[in-house]
Amino acid sequence: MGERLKIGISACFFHADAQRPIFTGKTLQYIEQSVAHWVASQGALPVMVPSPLGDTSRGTVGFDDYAAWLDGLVLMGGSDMWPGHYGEEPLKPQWNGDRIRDEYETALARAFIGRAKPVFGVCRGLQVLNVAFGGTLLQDISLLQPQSLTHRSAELYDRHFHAVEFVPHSRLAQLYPGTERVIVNSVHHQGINRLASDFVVEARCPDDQVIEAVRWRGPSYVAAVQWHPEFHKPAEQGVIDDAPILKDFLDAALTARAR
Amino acid sequence: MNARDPHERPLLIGVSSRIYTPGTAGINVSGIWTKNLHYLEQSVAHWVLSGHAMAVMIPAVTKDSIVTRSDLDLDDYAHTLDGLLLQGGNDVAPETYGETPLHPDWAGDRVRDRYEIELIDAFVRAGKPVFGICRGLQLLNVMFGGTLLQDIATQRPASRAHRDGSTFERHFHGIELVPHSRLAQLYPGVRNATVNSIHHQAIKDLAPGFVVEACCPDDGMIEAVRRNGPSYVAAVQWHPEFHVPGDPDNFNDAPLLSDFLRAARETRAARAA
Repeated sequence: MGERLKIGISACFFHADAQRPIFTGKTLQYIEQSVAHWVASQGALPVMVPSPLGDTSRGTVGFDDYAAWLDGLVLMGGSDMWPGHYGEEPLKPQWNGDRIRDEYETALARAFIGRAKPVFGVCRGLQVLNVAFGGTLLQDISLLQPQSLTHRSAELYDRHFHAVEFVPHSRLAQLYPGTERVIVNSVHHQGINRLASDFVVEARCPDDQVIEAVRWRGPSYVAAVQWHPEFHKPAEQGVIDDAPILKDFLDAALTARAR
Repeated sequence: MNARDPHERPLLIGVSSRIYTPGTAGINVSGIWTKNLHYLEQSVAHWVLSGHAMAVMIPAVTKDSIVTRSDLDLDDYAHTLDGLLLQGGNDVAPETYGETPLHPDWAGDRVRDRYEIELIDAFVRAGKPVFGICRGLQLLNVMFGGTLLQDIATQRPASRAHRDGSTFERHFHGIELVPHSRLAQLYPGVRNATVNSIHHQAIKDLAPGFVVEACCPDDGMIEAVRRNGPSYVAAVQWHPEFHVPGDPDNFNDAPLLSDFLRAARETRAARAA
């Protein structure tokens, strides 16, 4: 496919913390190795896009420069969103979320969408995209929808699984011909409440109808899943093979580059 | 030097990752971290951005990776990016320069050594500039055949303090630029300057083909080096990203960054020609 596709991965933050024994007062930005390796598993070149914002910010290079150079963006999982970004107050202090990361990732996603380059969201990434397009979140699934299945297990972490069902005829369903139901990991306590108006649901948890995959109806590729493809071990019994999802995203990046 | 065209595409500078492996000392944040993390300290990215260059962090491939070298070939990064910046961080493992650790605390980070050595090798072979910060200076010296002091205070007890755990990046000392060196040329009329100092290791034997460009006048510790050779390889023992811009007490690292980026721009122009 010629030169490898260059895929940006959004950063997670360890904010400056006076209690931390090292890097006291310093903000760290990181990615999980597994996300980079998942993106690389089909030949794309992953890089982490550092946030140009923050107290040490300098210079004029910004989000659009990254969007101009890179071929696509993956928003990775992590902390909650700040409820203020969808017009709510945090119901508990531990659900305050990461307002700084919200603003960085929303600006980054908008820059890529503005250039019609594909954006794929993982877990928190799905939530960020839903909010960026006008939707809202459940601040805590077990509090607000107590009849729901458990979507996060502190003990099992990424070894906690449940079923999802594809919405028939959706793009996601087309990527898995003949398959209606798969098993995915589940490491989230928040979920979509009100779907963004231009989004379609592509998969749900059959036990409680929690939204597990979405896609934008707009002109460029914006899609996201509530699970973590990067934690799945290929060929595990019943667990979804995420390769077709990654391939679809990278094909969109290739198409965008060819334009 | 040509003035930069503000409309030209920013240069692309890869920043090597710091690597956190679960179960090791390191970031030591609260919570259970079961995953390998690759990270940078944000001001190092912002320092690169200050020179109208885009910083991106290059993920590492380690021994437990699910991907293989062919999936994530570091040569592809060297081909795609215009230059490489080595962040500071953990000690270089003494085995990397043919020694054994004198103390368990100085065992260093072999995983990161291997990743960064491959990365440096890829950029140097591609003729792309490499700039090292702190650990980056030490690793470049080792990679090209030099050795390190495993602990300055133990092995050179007469030396001044080069790290202060209580003041961290607000610990400073003087440096003297070597006359007529490239570094001295970047700072006309400057012979002495003040830099931060956050390291307990330092160059023992200089790598063949390297020249010293700055020393600490108190004890002769090497503070800046450059490799003779066709491509740009240079490094400093201090942390330019922690110097506060505009603070008269801090070294002005902008000419240093400009020189590195000029080399990156030249290699890009040479490829485009």
